[in-house]
Amino acid sequence: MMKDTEIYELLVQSLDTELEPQEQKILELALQGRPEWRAKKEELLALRATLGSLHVAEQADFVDQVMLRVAKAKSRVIQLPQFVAQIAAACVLLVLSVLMSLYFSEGSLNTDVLLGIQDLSPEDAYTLLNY
Amino acid sequence: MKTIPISKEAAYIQKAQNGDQTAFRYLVEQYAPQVRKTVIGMLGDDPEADDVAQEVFIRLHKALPQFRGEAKLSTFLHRIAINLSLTALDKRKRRNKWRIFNTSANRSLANIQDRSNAPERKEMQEMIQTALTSLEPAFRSVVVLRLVQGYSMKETAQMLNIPEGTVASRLARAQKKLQVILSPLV
Repeated sequence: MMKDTEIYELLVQSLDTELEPQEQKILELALQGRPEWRAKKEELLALRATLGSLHVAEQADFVDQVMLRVAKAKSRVIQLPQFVAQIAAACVLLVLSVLMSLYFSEGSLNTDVLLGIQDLSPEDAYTLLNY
Repeated sequence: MKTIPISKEAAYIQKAQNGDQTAFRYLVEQYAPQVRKTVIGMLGDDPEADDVAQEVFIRLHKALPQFRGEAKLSTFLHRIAINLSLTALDKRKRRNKWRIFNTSANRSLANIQDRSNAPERKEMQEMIQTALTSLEPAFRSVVVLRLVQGYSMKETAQMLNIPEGTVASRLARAQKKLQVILSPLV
């Protein structure tokens, strides 16, 4: 003898999937023998019809809003590389101007000049290490 | 449910992939009602729902170059719609945890019982909406796709990326709860 909860589950399942022949037989027997199960089935069908009737009002400018947002998103994608390129160009100019000012003031662009240690002698370095 | 013939849809997708905005607009027009229904089913009729529904199409636009048509466009759109709705519900829950717990759920159920005598169409719609919001998001998504939108069990499972058996068991539990909540209507 099956429990009511199990019959209910078979009933619900039968509305969405094909039951196994044995399960189908059990359900049919329950539906034939007990009018409350037939009523339950009707209730379930009514519930599903009610849910299926959910109506969503149209929103007139929905598509326009989407297209507007798409256009905005596209323009943002285009603007980003320009912005990055501008920053990169500014950095290159800055580095070039620093190098030029070093070259004109020190007359060379060797590693010592770039590191700012062109005026230090090896003895200075030894003295520094002793500290 | 309105559907575009697959060959026609494929042609519009290809045009949209090549940058044809008119073709993309056509796809939005065709799928907007379905996507809005799914999102509103998940989030309720709220301005946030339209924002999320619009975001679904923005995501489609971004994904178009990679879209190979392995899944149907409707499956793809509903999958995004459900995922974005779940994220929105999560954010909403974190934002308004206390308020939701204390007021909306309880008040909504009370409203359903109060209105049971003369449910007009608008009220009936509100009652359905309220009943849906009383379900846990995982159950709600199954009900929205299978019972509100009318997709098959297989399609629902594909859209949610879960086994059909899970769809069936969630559906059974959700219907049991909905039967109690919507008993004044059915």
